[in-house]
Amino acid sequence: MSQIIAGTYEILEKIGAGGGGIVYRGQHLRLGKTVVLKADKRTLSARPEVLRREVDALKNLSHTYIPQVYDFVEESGTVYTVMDYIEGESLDKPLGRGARYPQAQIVQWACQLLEALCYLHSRPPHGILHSDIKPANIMVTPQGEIRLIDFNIALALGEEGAVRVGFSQGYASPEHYGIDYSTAVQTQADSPETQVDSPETQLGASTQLPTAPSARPSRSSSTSGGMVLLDVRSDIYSLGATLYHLLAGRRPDREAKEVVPLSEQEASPAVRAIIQKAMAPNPDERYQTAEEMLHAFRRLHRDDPRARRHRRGAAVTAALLAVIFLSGGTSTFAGLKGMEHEAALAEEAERLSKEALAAVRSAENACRAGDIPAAVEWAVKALEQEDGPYQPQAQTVLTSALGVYDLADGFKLWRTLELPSEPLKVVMSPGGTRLAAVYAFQAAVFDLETGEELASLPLEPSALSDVVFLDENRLIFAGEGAVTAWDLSGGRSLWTGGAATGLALSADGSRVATVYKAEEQANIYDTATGALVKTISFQGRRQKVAANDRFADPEDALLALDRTGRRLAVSFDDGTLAVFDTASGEAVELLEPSGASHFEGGFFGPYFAFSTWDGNQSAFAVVDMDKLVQTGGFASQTPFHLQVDETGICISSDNLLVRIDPETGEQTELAYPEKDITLFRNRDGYTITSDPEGTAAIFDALAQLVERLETGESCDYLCISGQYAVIGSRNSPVLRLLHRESHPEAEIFAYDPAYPHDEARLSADGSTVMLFSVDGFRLYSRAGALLAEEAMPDPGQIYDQQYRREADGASYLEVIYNDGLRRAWSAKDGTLLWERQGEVPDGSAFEEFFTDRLRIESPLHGTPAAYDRKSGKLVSMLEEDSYLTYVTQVEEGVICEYVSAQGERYGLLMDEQCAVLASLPGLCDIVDGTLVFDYSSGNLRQSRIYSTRELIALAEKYKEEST
Amino acid sequence: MSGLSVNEMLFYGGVALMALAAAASVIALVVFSVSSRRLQKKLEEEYGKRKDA
Repeated sequence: MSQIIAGTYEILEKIGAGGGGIVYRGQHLRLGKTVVLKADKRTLSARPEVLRREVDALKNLSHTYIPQVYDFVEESGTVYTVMDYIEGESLDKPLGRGARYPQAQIVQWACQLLEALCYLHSRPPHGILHSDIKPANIMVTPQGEIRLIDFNIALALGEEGAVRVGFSQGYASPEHYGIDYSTAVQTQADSPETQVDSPETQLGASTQLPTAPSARPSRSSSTSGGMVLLDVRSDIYSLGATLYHLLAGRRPDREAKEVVPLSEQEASPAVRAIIQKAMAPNPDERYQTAEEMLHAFRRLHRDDPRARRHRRGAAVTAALLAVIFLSGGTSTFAGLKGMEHEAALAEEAERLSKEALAAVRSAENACRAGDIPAAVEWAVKALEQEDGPYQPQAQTVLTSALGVYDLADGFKLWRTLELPSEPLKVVMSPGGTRLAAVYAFQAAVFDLETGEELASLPLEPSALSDVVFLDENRLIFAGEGAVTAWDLSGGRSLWTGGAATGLALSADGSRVATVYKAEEQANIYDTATGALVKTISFQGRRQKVAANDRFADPEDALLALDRTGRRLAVSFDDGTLAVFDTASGEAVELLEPSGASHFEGGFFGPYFAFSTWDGNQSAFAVVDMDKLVQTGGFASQTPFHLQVDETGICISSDNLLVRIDPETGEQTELAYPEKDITLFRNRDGYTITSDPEGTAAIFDALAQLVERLETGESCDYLCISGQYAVIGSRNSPVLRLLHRESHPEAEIFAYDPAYPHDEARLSADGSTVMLFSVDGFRLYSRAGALLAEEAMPDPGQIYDQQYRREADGASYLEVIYNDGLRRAWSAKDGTLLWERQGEVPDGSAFEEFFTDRLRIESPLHGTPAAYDRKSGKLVSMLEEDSYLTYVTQVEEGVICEYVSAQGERYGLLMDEQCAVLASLPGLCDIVDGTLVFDYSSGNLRQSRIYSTRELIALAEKYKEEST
Repeated sequence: MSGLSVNEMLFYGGVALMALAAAASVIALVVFSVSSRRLQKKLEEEYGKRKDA
């Protein structure tokens, strides 16, 4: 068998025969490498250059699953192709032995074969067809990989024109047999069973090269002159058939349409589908390219229904979870934004609340300070925040500032005046329309009606500098370097005199006495002309002056003229007191040198009253200057305060202020405040006092308190005249102005204020008014006629009194005695209606009141409390130090009527949460939602209840009027 | 819950939902990983090693 080919290769043995020729195992003589030599069968028919070109093409093939062709040699007319020797065996052998392979192995081989086909089909210029793929042409290496061998048929495909090629029954496609199912035209090969060499491979259909551009992408086979052209789909069929054989263990039927489909046991559905498609009789229904089929194999994992289900399940789960997560995220985001929005709203509400609180505080402070316009302004600002937590407080301040429920006659805080610095002296004009405030070192003159500053007058730079009013338009002041008379209306000086600090004006206004600091003389001027009438020598003495008079006026010195200026009273620093005759200059010494360091006093007609204080004892004396007789006097361990003018002699000691008749010594009470009087002024029937705690009080002519004001600072300056009162402090540049008000329009009834009573009630029909106490009652007609007056029997045994208004219009006063006896007096005519025995009161005086929402308990000893009627929960504790007498539900809320520990009656208007909306001082009755107030001046006055909106409207109106 | 506002319920509910979804995702990831490996093994037994197209 040994044969040397081309002097290079030695043929060792024949190892097979294929459609293209005989295959030998050989050896390269020089290299000793085992090779395969394949003798081409077409040697006789093919032209050498054609074979050369084909072998050149094969030599250029290089693929893992295709044996490498090394050489092309000719020996004795036979063309040999030399290629790699593949160890192992072709697949037909194990199949012949009945071997079966797992599907996974076959799929792997299928992929390898298809990769090789892809390579072949893509070779330029038009691809190479193997054309005879079958198990016998597939070698399995010991490593389990395959090699696609025997390209002789493929080479034939590269020849121009029709070439008869070999094919293998069962593996060959219908096109190999000349059958084209794609066109339904069957072209039968002239000799389909022509055996070439191999028992398997036959020369079959006449084929041509696929028409340009390429065999590979050709979508269909076509006939050309009765021949069927092969294309890549023929290889795909053969490969499918080969795989079929490997899977089923049997060769497929020769007739494509008769091929029995693979069973479920033989292959997986997906693999069966691939094989079935690859072996479709109609080439158009097969995979059109090897890549397509390879792709199908490679997608087996991915396209497997279980994998699809798994992926779908994962995707659905992921989507579902993503939706849930996103929903959660959306919800979180929305919630967060909402919370941020809520927080912003809360912050805004808190800001507004703080602003409202600040406004309320400012309003309260302004109200307390007497700056009513500012109080109204702040209260309205606080009320702008609707439903804010400080609405009730703001409303309370607003009602107080506007005084809508304070209808008593008297002085009300009206406005404030702010000075550049703390005042040193405050003086009002006689008519009470002008105010002069001395500060360092100016005198500011204000019109009290408008608050306008009329003049700012430069003063002698001394805290002693004084100002006196001649009348409403003229004043005299201790001007810088000269005493000056000033015309306010003309804004000009009337006259000037010598230097002065202290001034004293005669009551008739004709004379003014001046002293300059510690000078030992006084000048008397004619106020009309400014002429110096007289200079009074103090005879070597001088008034007490502070060491530094620029900053302090001890007001210890006395300088006073009598009504006409005929007498001048002067105190001196040696404790003496003298009254000079301004005509002669002679002095009447009233006090010998003493330890007195503080003097007060003045003239009342012919009487001169004065008081002294030496730090331990105070003395008071009244001297008839005509007779030079002391008509009265007394001493005290506490300092007297004195006001002596043409209206009389008023003196205070401790907390009692009286007017003393200088002739009889009779005392008339003017004021009796709770604490010691530190300063007072009396004029025009009203008295204003102050105490050490900064409380100012105003009393009327009957010495009844009409106004009480806690200023929170010392009240060092008090003025009252005409319609105004002024309160000032050395510690504050702000002066409080009070305005006298009366409300005749609100009056519904007037009575004798001297009649003592605890309560006043209107009858149901409004025709009568009953004033009653445990001592008795008076019944008046609305016209003021006294209808009846009764004294209560056994007043000491009275347990309670109830004024009752029945639905039928009848009204009566029911008196309950401790023994259970009840008596009723008619509110129509005052007659005793009935007398009957009832249950004995338990003495606890415990009362319960009910409104729609609240249950209010009022124990005799203890704080009243309001409870929610439904829940029973405590809503609020009410007034602590007062006794709750009545509870009335009104449209705006609830009104509780109290009696304070001092016996004062008042009411509180509250909302449903028991927040106080308004204070109702003097409230005595509520009739059909109308408030009735009983004032000590002997007046019953009424007011309706104002809503918040109405209060704001009133405030706006007030602001307009005040500006 | 009565003490919570709607926005707070939305917020905390959303956070809980997200946490739930995250936890479920972890569980699902584990479950699908295991089942995927099992399936992969089964498919490899059937089709051989996977070679993506």
